[in-house]
Amino acid sequence: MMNFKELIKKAKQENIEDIEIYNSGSKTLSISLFKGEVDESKIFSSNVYSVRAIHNGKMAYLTFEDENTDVDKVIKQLKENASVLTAGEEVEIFAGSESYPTLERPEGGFDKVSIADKIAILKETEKLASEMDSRIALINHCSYSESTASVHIINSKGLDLYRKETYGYIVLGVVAREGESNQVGFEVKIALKYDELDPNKIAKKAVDKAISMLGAAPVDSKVYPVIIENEAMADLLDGFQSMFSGEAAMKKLTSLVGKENQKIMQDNVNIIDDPLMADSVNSQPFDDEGVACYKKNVVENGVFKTFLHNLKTAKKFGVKSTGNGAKAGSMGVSGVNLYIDKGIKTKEELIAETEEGLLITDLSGLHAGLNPISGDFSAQSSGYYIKNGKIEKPVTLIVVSGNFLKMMNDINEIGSDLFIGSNGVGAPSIKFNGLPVSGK
Amino acid sequence: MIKLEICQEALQECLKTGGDFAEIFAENTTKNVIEMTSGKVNNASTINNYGVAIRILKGYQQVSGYTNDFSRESIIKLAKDLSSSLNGEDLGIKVELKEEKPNKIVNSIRKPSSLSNEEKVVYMQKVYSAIKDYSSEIAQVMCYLTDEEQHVLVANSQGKYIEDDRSHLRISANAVASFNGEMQTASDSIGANCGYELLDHADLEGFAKEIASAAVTMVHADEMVGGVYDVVIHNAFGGVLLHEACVHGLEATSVAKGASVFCGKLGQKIASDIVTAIDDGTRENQWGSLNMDDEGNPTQKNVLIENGILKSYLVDYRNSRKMNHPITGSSRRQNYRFSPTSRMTNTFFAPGNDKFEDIIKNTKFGLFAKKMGGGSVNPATGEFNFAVSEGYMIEDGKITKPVRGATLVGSGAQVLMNVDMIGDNLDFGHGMCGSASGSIPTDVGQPTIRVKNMVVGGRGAK
Repeated sequence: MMNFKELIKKAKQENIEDIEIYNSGSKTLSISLFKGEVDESKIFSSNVYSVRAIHNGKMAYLTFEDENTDVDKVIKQLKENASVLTAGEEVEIFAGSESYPTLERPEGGFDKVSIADKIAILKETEKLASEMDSRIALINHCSYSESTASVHIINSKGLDLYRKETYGYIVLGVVAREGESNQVGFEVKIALKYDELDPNKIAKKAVDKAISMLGAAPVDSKVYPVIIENEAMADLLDGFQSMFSGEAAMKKLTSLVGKENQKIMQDNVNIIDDPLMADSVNSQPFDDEGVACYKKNVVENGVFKTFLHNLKTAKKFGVKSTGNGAKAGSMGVSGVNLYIDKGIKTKEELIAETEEGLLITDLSGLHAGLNPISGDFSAQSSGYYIKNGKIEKPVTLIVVSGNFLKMMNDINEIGSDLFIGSNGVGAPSIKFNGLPVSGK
Repeated sequence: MIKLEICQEALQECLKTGGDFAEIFAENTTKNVIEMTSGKVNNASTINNYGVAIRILKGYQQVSGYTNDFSRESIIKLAKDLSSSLNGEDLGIKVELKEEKPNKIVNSIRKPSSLSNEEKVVYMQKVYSAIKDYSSEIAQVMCYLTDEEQHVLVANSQGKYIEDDRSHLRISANAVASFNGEMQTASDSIGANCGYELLDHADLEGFAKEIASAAVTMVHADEMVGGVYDVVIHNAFGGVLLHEACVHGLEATSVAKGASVFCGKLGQKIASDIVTAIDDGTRENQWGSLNMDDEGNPTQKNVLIENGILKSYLVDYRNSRKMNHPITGSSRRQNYRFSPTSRMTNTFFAPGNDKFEDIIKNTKFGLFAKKMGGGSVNPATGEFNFAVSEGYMIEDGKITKPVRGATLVGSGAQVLMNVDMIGDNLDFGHGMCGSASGSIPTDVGQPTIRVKNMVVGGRGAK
C-alpha cells in the first residue's frame, strides 16, 4: 500500500496548498460460457490511485497504478500540470460534511456460493434460453460477473472516508432466426444479492425480445404517437443528462443556464436524483469528493429546480455542492440515481389507449445522434406497430426524432413501470403525442 | 520491463495444468490530457497505466488475470493462480524465449515526454483563436490535446519475447455556433501514431476554420426531412460507414461464434463489383497503425473485400484456433485490463475512378453527407446507424441548402450492394473505436461514394 500520510506531509513541504488521494480498489471474477462450456474466465484485483492537488490556487490531477511510484515524482508532475492552468476557477479540497447518511445494504451472499455453482447457474441460463423456442439459433453471450469495488478518500484537510459495494450480474445475448430475419435479445440483470439472479426470468426476457422482433420491417414515414418503453426512455434521459450538469452550465453547454425556477416541462414531470435508493447498485452515502449525498428534485412539477453540482461548479454559481461530484479523469458531475418519476397507468394501458402508434423498445446510436445542447435527437429505433390498441407487428430500421425539452412538454401519459438501469439512470414508459418517424 | 528469465519461468508455470498456450502482456503507459475551454486551460491530467496481464489457453478456453506488481513473486503467483483453475496434465511444452525486434512502421521524433505542458498549449491556442475569430456566431470553443506513450512487452509460450513503443497523439476541437437562441456544434480531430512533429507540419488554422465553418453553417440549416434518399458520403470520416456497416461484422469476435451476418461467406459476393475494402495496419505513422499487434505479431495489409467478393476476416490467435483461418495481425486491447481480440486498424474503401464533381452531377435528388458523426452496429443483425454532422441537399445535380439532424440507418449486407459510385479522392479520419477489448485508436477512410436508397431520419416536416 502507498503511504498516504507521507505523501500529504511531503506535498505540504513542497508548497502544495492541499492534496487528496482517491484510491479505488476492485476485485472481480467473471466467467463466460459458450455452447455449454466455460470459454473465458477472469480473476483480478486492482488498485488505482488518483491524486489531485492545489498549487498556486490551481487544481491538477494525476492517476497511477504502480504503488511504488516515487512520491517526489508525483509532486513534480502535479506542479507541472498546475502550472499550465489559466482558467479562473475557484477550487477546493473538502474538509467533510457535517454528517453522512447511512446506506442500508443487504447481505449479498456472493462469497457463500462456489465457483462451480456459479458456472451451474450460467449453464442453466443458457440451456433455458436455447430450449425456450426452436427459433433461437444461438446464444452468443452468456456470462456471470461479480465485483467488489471500494473507494477510499483521504486528504490534507483531514477527510478520511471509505465505502464498499459488492454486486453481481448475468449478461445474456440470444440470436433468433426465421427465414432471412435475424433478431437479437439482450438482457443484463444486475443484483446486490446473489439470490436475485433468476435464470428463468433472464432467459425469458432475452428470448421474448428476440422472438417477438422476428420479421421486423420499417413502417411508413410520418408523425406517430409514440410510447417510449422504460429502458429506452432511460437511455434517452442518460443521453441528455448533461443538460442538468453544473459543469455543462459552467461551459455554457446547456440551454438551461439561467432557467432555474422556470417552467421547462409540463406539470406532471418530476425528475429526481436519489443517491440513497435502497436497491440500486449505484447508491452511495458520499460522492467522489467526500460530499454527503441526498435526494433532490431536479425538475419539480415541470419547474427546473437545480443543476447537479460538484464543489467547483457550485462555487461558480454561488451555491452548495449537491453531492454529485463524479471522478472521470478530473472531477466531473453526474447524477447518482437520476430518474423521471412514474405516473399511474401501466404500459399495457398506454398501448390499449393508442389507436395507431409505435411502441419503441430500443434506441441505438444515441452517443452520436443527439445534441445535448439543443436537445435534438435522431435515433435508430426498433419496437412495435400499434393498431386499435393492440401490438400488430415488429418494426425496425426506422429513425425516431425529436427534441427532448419539446417532447417533455407534449406528453400524453406517463407510465407506472419505473426502471432504473445499472448506470443509475431511470424512467417509466412515456407516451408522447407525436414524434416524426422516418422509415419507408 | 520484465526480464526474459522471469517471463520464461512464469509461462512455464502457466502450462503445468494442461494449458497449451500462455502469454504475458505488460505495459507502462503515460497519458496526458489538456483541456481548453473559451481559450483558458481548465484541466491538465496525467494518467499512468502500469500492469501485467497473463492469459492461458487450453484449446479455445481462456483464463486470464492481471496485477499491478511487476515483481517476480507477484508474476509467478499470478501464473500459479491462473493455472490452478485448469485441471489437466502438463503437456510437456518447453518454453524457450528468444528476443525479437518489431518492424518499424511508426516512429516518434518529438516524443510527448520531451515537451512541457506550456509548449503543448501553444498548438491548442492556435486552434482556439482560428475558430473564435472565424465568426461572431461562435459562442464556445473547446479544444482537447491528448498524448499517450505506451511501452509494451509481449512474451508467449511459443518463444516470443518482444517489446515496442507507441506514441498516440491527437488534437480535437469542438465549436458551438449560436444564432437566435439555437446552438449547433461541429468537431474534428487530427491524430497519428507519432510525435509532436505531426502538429508542427499540420495546417492547424485550416483545420480550425473548417470546424468553425461547419458549426456556423449548421446553425442556419433547415431540419432534414426524413425518407429514402440516394446519399453521397464524402471522403475521410465518411469511411465510418464501412467501419460500422460491414467490418465490425468481419471481426472474429462475432464471426467465430457464428453471430455475424457475414459468417460462412468467404469467397461469396457481399458487395457491389466496384467495392474493394482494406484494413491496413502498416500505413506509416497513421493513427490506427502499429509496428506489431498486441499479440506481438506484425500488422499487415488485409484485403477484406475485393471487387465485391469477401476475401478475409480479421482474426486473432485464439479465434484462429476456432475458425481455421490464419491470424491477420489484428489483435488489440485498450490496455492490460482487457483481453485482446480481433479489431480494426486503418479501414477504408479503395479509391475508384469517379470524380467528386461527377458523383454530385449524376445525383438528381439526394443528400450530401459532407461530415459524419459516430455510429454503431449490431453485428448479429447487421443493422447500423450513424449521424450526419454536416449535410446538404443535392437537387438536380447540384449541392444546395444545408440540412441538420440527419441520421442514416440500414443493414450492412444491403448497403454494400447499393454502393454505385466510388470517387478517386481517398482520405482518412481519426476515431476511437469501442468494442469487446476496449477503446482503441482506429482510422476510417474512403473516397467519396454514393449509396442508393438509404433510410434517412430527420425532424423536418414534409
